[in-house]
Amino acid sequence: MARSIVITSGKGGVGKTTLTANLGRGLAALGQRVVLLDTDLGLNNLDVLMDVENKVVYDIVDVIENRCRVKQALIEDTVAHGLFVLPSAHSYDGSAVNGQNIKAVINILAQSFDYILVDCPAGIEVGFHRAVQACGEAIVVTTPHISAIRDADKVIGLLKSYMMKSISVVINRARGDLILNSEMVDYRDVSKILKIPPLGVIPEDDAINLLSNLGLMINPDSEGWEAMDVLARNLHYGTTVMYDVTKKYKGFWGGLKRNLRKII
Amino acid sequence: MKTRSELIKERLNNVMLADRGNGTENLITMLKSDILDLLKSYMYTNSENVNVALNVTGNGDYELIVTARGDRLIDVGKMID
Repeated sequence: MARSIVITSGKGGVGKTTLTANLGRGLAALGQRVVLLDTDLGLNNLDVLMDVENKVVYDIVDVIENRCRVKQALIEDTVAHGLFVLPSAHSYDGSAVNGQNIKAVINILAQSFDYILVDCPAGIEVGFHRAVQACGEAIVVTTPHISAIRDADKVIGLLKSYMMKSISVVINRARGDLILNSEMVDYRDVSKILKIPPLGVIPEDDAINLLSNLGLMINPDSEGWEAMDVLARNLHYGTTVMYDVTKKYKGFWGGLKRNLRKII
Repeated sequence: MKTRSELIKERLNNVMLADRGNGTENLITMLKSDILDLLKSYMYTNSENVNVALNVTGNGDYELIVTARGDRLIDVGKMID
């Protein structure tokens, strides 16, 4: 049975869209059929991250308003086999689209896909509720920063009222050097404070930023991809392995790297 | 001396405390009323002598602190007879 998962955060800029794109690629690499749904109507960015912005013919609003069939709006990823994107409308206020409409689209997609990952808009306004009510599970993305964790806590409170099958947290942009220097909270602290099990930890990785901007897939031998792969496996197999963001800063050379980063 | 991450955790807990505490006024009023009803079976007390506070601990758990003063206890043994 298909799993519909909303990727949300409350706070903007924590990496929801980047995570949606890369988690989709991670699941596709495990042989799953995945579709990414951008529900950020009017402020769509998933198409750019997936490098499909020039291929958009129909979007989710066209599907909902019966201007095309769902399959006509799907765009296949050029790299990952079995990965598709259903883009959002680039100029639309979204007032005519409700959670039931999105749920109906998800129900159709559920017949042909294993995973439906829904990229939720930032904030806790109508767009958030629209995306959340259409999904069965939720992943809350946060960074190890006080403002993001605080917003994540509020979002978790709201998600609980939707009777989700599961709610988990992904800690994005974790800095191993700062954690080892006791200058940043680690995933255990975040999970404990939020009272939500951790699904994964993603390190701050320049490659993720750069390649996202280029619309490319993260280099498979990079730290970022390794962490995304661990995350995708946790989601798919139900494991609880956490990527160790501190490992490259441990040992003699690691310590040197950590201290150099501090000086520079 | 506390590390910076400990200070961050402390700040985070304080922020959470304020956030999670917001909107719990009704809950505290209801709790206090129920606790008072219960306490009245065991001691002579009234609403002014019962205090109910809801805190968030370092772990993010809720901690309910109830303090009650009464001038006399009710003899429970007698009630059973």
